[in-house]
Amino acid sequence: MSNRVFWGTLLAVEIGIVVVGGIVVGAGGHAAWYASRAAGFAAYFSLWIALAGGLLMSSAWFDGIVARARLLAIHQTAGLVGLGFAAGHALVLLLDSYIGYSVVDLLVPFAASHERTLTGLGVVTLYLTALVTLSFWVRTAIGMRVWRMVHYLSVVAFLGAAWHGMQMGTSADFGWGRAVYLITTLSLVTATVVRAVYVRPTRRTAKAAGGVSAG
Amino acid sequence: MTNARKRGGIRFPITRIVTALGAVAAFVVLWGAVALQGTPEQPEATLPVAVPPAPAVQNGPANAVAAAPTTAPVQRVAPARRSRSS
Repeated sequence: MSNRVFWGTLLAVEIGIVVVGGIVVGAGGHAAWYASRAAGFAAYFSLWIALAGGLLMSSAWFDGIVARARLLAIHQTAGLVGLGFAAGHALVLLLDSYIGYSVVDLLVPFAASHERTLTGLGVVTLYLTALVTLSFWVRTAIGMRVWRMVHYLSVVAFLGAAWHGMQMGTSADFGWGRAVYLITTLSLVTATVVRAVYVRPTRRTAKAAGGVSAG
Repeated sequence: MTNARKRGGIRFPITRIVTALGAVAAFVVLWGAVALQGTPEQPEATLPVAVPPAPAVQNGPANAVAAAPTTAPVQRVAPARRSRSS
C-alpha cells in the first residue's frame, strides 16, 4: 500500500466513523451530540499523543527505550487521527439541532453566535492542526526552516484545543474530564522541559573532551 | 534505506495501525462514557423562585409550620451552556 493511499484512507475512516456513527447510532436522540463530544475528546487525546511523541522523538532522553523511527510513526499517525477526529467533531455538530450550527459557523472562525470566542478558537485550532499535520508531506517543497516554524504551531494548536475543551467541553464539568486535561497538560510541560534541558551524557563528555583539547 | 522505503511504502505499518485502532477504541469508550453520564446539571441555571404556600390543614401546630412560604430551585435553560441530563 502506498503512503498516500494509507494516510488518505486513515483520515477518511476517522471522519467517517464519527459522522456515520452520529447518524446511525441512536442514543436517546442525542447520538450526534455524544459522537461530537467523544470525537472532541478523542481528537484532543490523539493530539496529545502526537505532541508527546514528537517531543520524545526529538529528545535524547528517550533514546534506547523506543526507536525514533517508531516514535515518528506514532507521532504521524496520532496527528492524522487527531485531525480526522477533530474534523468529525465539527462535522457531526451539523446533525445536532440543539445549538443549530451552520456550515459557516463551523468553517469561518468567530462566525458562530453560540460561544463565539470558544467556538472560533476551536475552528482556528482545527485549521492549525491541519496545517501542521499536512505540512509533513510538503516538507521538501516549503523547506526545512519553514516546516520547522510551522511545526512549532502544534504547541499553539494543542493549547487552543485544551482551552477550547476545558472552557466549552461538557466533559470538563466532570472530575475525570478535569483530571485528563490536567494530566495531559502537565505531562507535556514536563516533556518540553526534558526536551529543552536534557543532554545525552556521552555527547556532554565528548564536548567537554573537545573543549579541553582545544584549550 | 529500508525495503519499505525503497518500495515507496510505509514504515512500521503495524505500529501505525495499532495507534489508529487505539484512537478508534478510545473514541468508542468515550462515546459510551459520555452517553452513560449525560450532561451535568448547571448550577448557574437554578434560580430561587417563590413557591405559593400549601393549603393549610387545621390539624395542629406541626402542619401550620409546614405550610409556611418557602423557596425552591427551578430549572432554567442557560443560554451559554446546555443541559441534557433528562
